[in-house]
Amino acid sequence: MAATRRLQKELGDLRKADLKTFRNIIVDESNILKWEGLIVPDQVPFNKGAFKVEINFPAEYPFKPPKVTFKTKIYHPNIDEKGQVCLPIISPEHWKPATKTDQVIQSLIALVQEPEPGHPLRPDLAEEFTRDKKKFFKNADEYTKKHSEKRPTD
Amino acid sequence: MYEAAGRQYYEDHVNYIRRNDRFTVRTSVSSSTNNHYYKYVIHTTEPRWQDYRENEKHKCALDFQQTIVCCLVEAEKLKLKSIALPFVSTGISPIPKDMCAKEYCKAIEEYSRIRNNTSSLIEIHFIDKNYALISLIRQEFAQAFNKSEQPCVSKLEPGRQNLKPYSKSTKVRAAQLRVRTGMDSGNSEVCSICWNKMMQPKKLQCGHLFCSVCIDHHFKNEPTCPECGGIQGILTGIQPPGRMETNIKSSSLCGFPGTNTIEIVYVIPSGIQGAEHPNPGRPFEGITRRAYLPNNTKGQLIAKLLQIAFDRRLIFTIGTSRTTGKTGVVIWNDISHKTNPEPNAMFGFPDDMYFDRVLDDLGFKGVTEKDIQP
Repeated sequence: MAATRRLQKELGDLRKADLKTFRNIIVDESNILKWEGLIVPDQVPFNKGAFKVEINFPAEYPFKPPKVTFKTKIYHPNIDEKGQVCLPIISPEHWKPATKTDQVIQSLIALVQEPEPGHPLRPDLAEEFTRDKKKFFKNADEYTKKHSEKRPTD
Repeated sequence: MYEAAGRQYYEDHVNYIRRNDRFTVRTSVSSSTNNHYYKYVIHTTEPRWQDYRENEKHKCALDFQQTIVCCLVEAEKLKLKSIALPFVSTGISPIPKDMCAKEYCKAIEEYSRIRNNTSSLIEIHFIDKNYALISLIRQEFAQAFNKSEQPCVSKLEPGRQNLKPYSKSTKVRAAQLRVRTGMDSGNSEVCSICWNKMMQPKKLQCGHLFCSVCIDHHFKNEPTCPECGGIQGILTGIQPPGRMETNIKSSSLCGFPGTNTIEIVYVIPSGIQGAEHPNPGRPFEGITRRAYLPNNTKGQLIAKLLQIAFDRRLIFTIGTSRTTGKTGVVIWNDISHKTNPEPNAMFGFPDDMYFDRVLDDLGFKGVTEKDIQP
């Protein structure tokens, strides 16, 4: 299967790259189409926590884009309560088979750190983010402390 | 830029200004960023056309060329693999565009020469929101360099990863030109779809190579380049059946005294949505729309291109109306039209930017002058 071979290489490269902001990549030996990782933001207001995400690759990968879901609750205009996230780079109309998972992850981290209130999945949070950034940061910070995963210590 | 590039960028910047005072043409300096997409921002000063006397304009061209070389050398110093250049010197006191295009070519030749064809730079991107400019420079490169290594022009969507810093607040659409420097890239033999050694490579219009099996599989999904997104072949839309007529009116549009007017009438009758539409089987509401162009060379050209776009079903689409919020209606498909013949009206003339804009819009849908049969 084309997907398997490419994903093995991508996984190897990512582990080698040893990103500070995306760690603990776990892949089930029996199913390379399903990855789990930990997003560790380094900018406020999410820099006090870490967020588990799942990346699901379709069998047709790389002809069809992967899907990303948050497993940890997050206070974010572009991520809804079910953990669904709207990421243009992996939307069916923008997807390019040459796009690497590394780029997808970078784009995801960028979105987490810099919300885009123009295309929200949670309009209430988008409004708070644009109208009263201080309040948003405060709420996000509290929410992160309460709900997020522990940050790796090293 | 501070917002996009972050604190490190700002500090580098401030430090530089503190240490140095003037910044002249033919020099460049870089600052690092906190951004994930690009590592550095290279600063330079563009020569201004008006600063050179009439008989010294060639010096301006040379300064321009050297300024670009300078940026490339700076990138090399930083061991960068790719660099994206906006069109410098086309803003305030612009250098003629065709001259810019020529000097860009020469700058790259010059850079290759001084680097003796070895460089960390593998890709040089030219980015601008003006499609016409990109086309110009593309032609220039096609002429100057080996035809088989044609640079590719591709369209970048707002929100795409590599364009994000530009598209954050404003909806900028940008065209980009990618030039492979032809210098050793190390892994050019790997297909970017399967990540294996390229088998029976197939080359697309844009110059990108893929395994035959991989690219054929991709083309079953869509006719674009998997690497740059450039359209392969002809793009068609989902505009429902209808007709387009053009009439000549004796009146003149504002800004075109003495020139009569081309009136385009589009008629799309109501019907039932097909399999390619958002809600197959549901009815949609038809429309009649009028658009206006001056009956001069430019207007006639645009009318011809609009006809091609109409035949490719690209002028309208079915979707949600931006003005009324109604779903399942025939709506414009992002090709600008002047729908009001009255002077100074919204969606009317005068509008100096209109011709460039509509040509851009058409270009993004793959409709260009090349499509007109002689």
